[in-house]
Amino acid sequence: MKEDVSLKLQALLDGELSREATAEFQRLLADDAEAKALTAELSWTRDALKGNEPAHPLPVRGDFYWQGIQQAIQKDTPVKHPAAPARPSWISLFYKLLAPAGAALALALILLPVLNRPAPVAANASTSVASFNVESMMPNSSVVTFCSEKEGVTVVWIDTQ
Amino acid sequence: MSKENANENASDEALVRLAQQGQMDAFELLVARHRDKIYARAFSMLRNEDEAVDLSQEAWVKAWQRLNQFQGDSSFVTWITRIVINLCLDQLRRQKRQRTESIERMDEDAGGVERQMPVITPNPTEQLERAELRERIDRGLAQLSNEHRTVLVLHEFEQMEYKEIAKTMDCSIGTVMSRLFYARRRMATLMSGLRKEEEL
Repeated sequence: MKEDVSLKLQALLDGELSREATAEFQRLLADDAEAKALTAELSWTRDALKGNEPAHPLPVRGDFYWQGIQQAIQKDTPVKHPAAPARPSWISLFYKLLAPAGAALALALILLPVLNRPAPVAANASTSVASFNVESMMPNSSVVTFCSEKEGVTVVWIDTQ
Repeated sequence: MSKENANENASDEALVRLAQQGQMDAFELLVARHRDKIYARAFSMLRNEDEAVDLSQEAWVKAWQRLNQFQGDSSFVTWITRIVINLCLDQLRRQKRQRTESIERMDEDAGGVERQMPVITPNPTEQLERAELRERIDRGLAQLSNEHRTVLVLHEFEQMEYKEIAKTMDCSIGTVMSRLFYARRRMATLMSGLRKEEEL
């Protein structure tokens, strides 16, 4: 029997031929003993397989099997943190502007006492002019500090010689 | 009743919805329900226990990762079965690349060994016990090449049509028909017990 006829016969059994092709093919095969025998064999095989898939139970314990899956999931999947709730845009703007302003204010509060601290009178030399102080912290004046309240500037000058 | 016990009676669809929300215990129940079928499908294609365990576990991991893509067009078990089938096919392709051309493949290409096989006449009086029949089927499947066994498994056990098998296996419908024909004829011989394997 030709291969294409055999394959068509199989397709007929599997319901893969169109209605017209089925009718035509059945007429052709009506008196073909070889085709009938092949049809019987293919049908028998198909019916034997149907609903008789061999059972192959899982060869490992169910909890071990699950642990392997769970570990792989936790290893490959990054932990998803719940998304932060979206803020309205004006709140975002407020935070954007307020944060630097707050930081600047905090810095100013920390520095203000330092800048406004009355200059200690040096042991050997101190000059105070209306708007600024110059003081020497050490004998023989190797360190000189200049502080101007007006300008808001403090300079420390260290003379290593 | 605890949440876990309540979930045990839930349908697959309900468990999938819970798992899609991130509930791992719901997913664990789905695994417990269908692990045997998924493993069995992997084994039927690969014929190797270790590989079947590994690939079936991988299928579950992929299912978890793609759970939000599951839209419910098919049942969950059909969906996860397709995942494991695709993984097995990838594995078989890798193995095929690594080995030389198989004898079965050469026979198939050489001009239709299946056409030279004598037709088996079914004996209606032979009523095989179900267990005996399954054992013969199992032995027969083990002797088929990967390509022939896969086509047979997809058609007879997964009830896939030629077109779907061709798409899944990335081959023509003609190839599917040819492989299925060979596989059936060989199985008829192997199951009938009328001929010894050495005579083929």
